[in-house]
Amino acid sequence: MEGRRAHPIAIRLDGDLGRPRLLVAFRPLLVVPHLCWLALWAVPAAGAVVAAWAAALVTGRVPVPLHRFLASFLREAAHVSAFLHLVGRPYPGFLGREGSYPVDLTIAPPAGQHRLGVLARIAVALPALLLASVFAIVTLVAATLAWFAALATGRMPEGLRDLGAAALRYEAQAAGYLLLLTARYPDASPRLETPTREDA
Amino acid sequence: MTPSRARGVAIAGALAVAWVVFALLLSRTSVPDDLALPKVDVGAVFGAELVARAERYRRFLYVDWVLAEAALLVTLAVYAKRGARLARESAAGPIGTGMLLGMVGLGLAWVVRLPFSVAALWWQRRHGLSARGYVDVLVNGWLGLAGTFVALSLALLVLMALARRLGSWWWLPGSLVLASVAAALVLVQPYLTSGLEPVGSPRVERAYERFRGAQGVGHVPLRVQRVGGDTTLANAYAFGIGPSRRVVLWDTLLDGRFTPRQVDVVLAHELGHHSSDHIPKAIGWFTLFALPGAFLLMLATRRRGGMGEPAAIPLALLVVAVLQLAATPAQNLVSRRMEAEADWKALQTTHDPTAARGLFRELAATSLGDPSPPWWTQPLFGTHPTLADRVAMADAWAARRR
Repeated sequence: MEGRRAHPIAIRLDGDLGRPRLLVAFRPLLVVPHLCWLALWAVPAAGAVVAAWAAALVTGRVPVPLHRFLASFLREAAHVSAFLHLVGRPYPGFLGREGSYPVDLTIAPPAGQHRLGVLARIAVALPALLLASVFAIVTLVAATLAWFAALATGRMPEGLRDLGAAALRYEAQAAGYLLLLTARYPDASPRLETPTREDA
Repeated sequence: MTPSRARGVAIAGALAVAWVVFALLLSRTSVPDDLALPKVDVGAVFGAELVARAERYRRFLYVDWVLAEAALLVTLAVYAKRGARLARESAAGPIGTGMLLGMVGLGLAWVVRLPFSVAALWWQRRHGLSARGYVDVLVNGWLGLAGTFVALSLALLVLMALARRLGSWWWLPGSLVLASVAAALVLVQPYLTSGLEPVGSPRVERAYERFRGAQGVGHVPLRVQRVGGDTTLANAYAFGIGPSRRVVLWDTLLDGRFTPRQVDVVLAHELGHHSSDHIPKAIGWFTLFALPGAFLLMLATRRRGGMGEPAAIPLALLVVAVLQLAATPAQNLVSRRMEAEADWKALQTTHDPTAARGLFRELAATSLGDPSPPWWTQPLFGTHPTLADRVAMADAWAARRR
């Protein structure tokens, strides 16, 4: 039997579980400037999605500049979420550059997409977005528990970190699907390693 | 002297002269220069028992404030020495890292001052002046930090970007940008303040319109803020500039403890701030203080690589805290002059020194304000003239009319 292909949107983690207490204590507030920045960024991103949708309907592919712009937006949101939920250690940047954060999204270049799938993207994405919102609650609960643990010990419990990372990956894949960064439906597998053909 | 040094001295001299000229222009007041305030028998006017009670109440708050400031400065000094190490915990580039260091420093400052804020609240509750809960103060303080963090991040974004581009000259445009931001905040603040309601008292509204016409103030809405659930203190304020100008009364002023004539004095006082352009003048003063402040900040942070480097930010926080403390007496002096002018305008508008005297007596009783505090407290805490001086001004106004 052939194994599943790797999802075009994957998460990459480092093994650092140390979390300085000072940054843990103020973490929910430290991301407020990022959240303001993301809210501002969301305005052109919304326009870019509409443009990408129209282009993909016509050509069957999202233009590279739009794909790059939306990928940076999604990556920045993932970096901020990773920091907020204690999945990542350092304070994230503001540009969503690939490789700039230890908890990173790798997003494959644009590929061909079925026009029918593009046309019905919002409706088809709804179940995944619903599940992503459930994952978001799970992440929040895990992060709240981890906050107390990290404040006491200066370390992030590995299990909670992995749970947060798996949820974050699903949320990113669901958002990436909605943003037309990929035609692949999100992968709900709890495994953090990206499934490959060799896994079959 | 080298030509470049001579040029620098000439620029500094011109700036100093301009500073003094603007300061003199901003200091002008409608209070007569020859107004001599008569001596007020504080015990007779306010009552010996109230004075003693107010002294005891204020003494605790003075000590609490001094301890809080000391704790703050010590914490920021330690942070200035060690805080730069936190830069290792950032993947945000130099300016983002500077924001992180700034926010953590402010967060520490909040935590260090928290016990003193709680102690002050306990003292106010004990004297029946506040009904706020401790959890409410804690949660609101924590949430308030979020807004402070955003404002600080914006300020650091601008200043660090300027410093990275202009080197040691960043302070000149930097202080002007900060002043512009302050003016913009003053403009939008009334629109962002929630919970302001129409007064709903025809008598108060009629009096307000009459005084507004007498002082030649354009359209400035009057609003009431509901604070009765949190405090018994009485207060009013004028804020906004241009189209956003407002006068706000706390509902505690209208709960029956103050007579209608005393409320009239408050209305005329707050309108006096607008008719005397105190809020634009305050922005002018902010600019005047920001210029030398930013220059000193530039000098102080040079040995850490300047304001463009994240390692300088913890030190910058300490320098700003020290400069703020050092500038407090001058800022309070400016504030007291403005408040005195608003009092004078209120007397000129209402022609009612008896109501003014009654208002100041009632304010002492309801806020436990010390009518004649120790001399050293006025430079540090005296945003208004002492209540004894305010009564004296009412007496002086009455004496002039006779």
